[in-house]
Amino acid sequence: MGKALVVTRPAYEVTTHYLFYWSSLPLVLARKSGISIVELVKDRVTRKEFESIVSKVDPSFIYLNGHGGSKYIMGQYNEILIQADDNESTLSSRIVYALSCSSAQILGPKSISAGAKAYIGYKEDFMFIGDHHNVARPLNDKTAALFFEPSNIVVETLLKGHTVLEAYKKSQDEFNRNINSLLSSSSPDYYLISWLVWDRIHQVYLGDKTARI
Amino acid sequence: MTKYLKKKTEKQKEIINLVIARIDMIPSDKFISIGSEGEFTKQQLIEEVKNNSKIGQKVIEMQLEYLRLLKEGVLYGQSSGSN
Repeated sequence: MGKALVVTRPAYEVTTHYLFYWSSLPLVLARKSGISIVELVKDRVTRKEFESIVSKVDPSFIYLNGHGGSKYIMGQYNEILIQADDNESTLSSRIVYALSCSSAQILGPKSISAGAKAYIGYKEDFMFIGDHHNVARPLNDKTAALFFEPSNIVVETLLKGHTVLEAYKKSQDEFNRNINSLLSSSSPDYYLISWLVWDRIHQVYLGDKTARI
Repeated sequence: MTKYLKKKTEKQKEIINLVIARIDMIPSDKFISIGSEGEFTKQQLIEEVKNNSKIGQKVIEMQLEYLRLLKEGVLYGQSSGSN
């Protein structure tokens, strides 16, 4: 298994549209660091394509973006890509980061049992607040940035060769930095704190905390 | 209605009003993404809370969790971790 990354980036409504754009940023770093990247984008984010690409590329790192539930993660138009007690063995021997709701409840632990090295994800819904005026330009949305930057740090830290635990801690630190910046200023954006805290406390890592891609 | 039930209902109303007041702090030009449930304006979210829908209950849970952590003084800088 070489250093390769498979990333899923569906986009078909506002939330996945934001995930699609924000997930593009860590890929710039991946390209610079010479890691081989295979992107499944929009209509290509199907179970068939996903399983085929993972089998072919044998990636050390899988980065999943999309809607999800406790037992599954979806691709384009809510097609289930990966599901507990079904095809979680696809993640075996890999490090996984899932920016997806609740999948660390059941799918994460099942993946670890099926041989995944480590799994970083969320035990509850990943929530964020965005600006209506920036829906067409998600990367200009400074409100949404407070949620997506801590998420992107997971990927960036892993791509730099750090451990799963370091990636998790750096992400938590970034959430805290954003929370503290809202606290310490007389910011009108104080209302964001409870939403950021929710994402931070439900982000978890499972499996081997010393694993690296 | 028994005294206990009356008190419980009053408490629930207080919680709902508190959560609505907190949602009302969100500016009108923002949207809130609640995972697979979709995106909501603050007014839509307030209606969900008032109607005690699944989404409303999730938002109540989230806000109460925040207030609990705030009260316990463990809100900032504590990681939940895992393993």
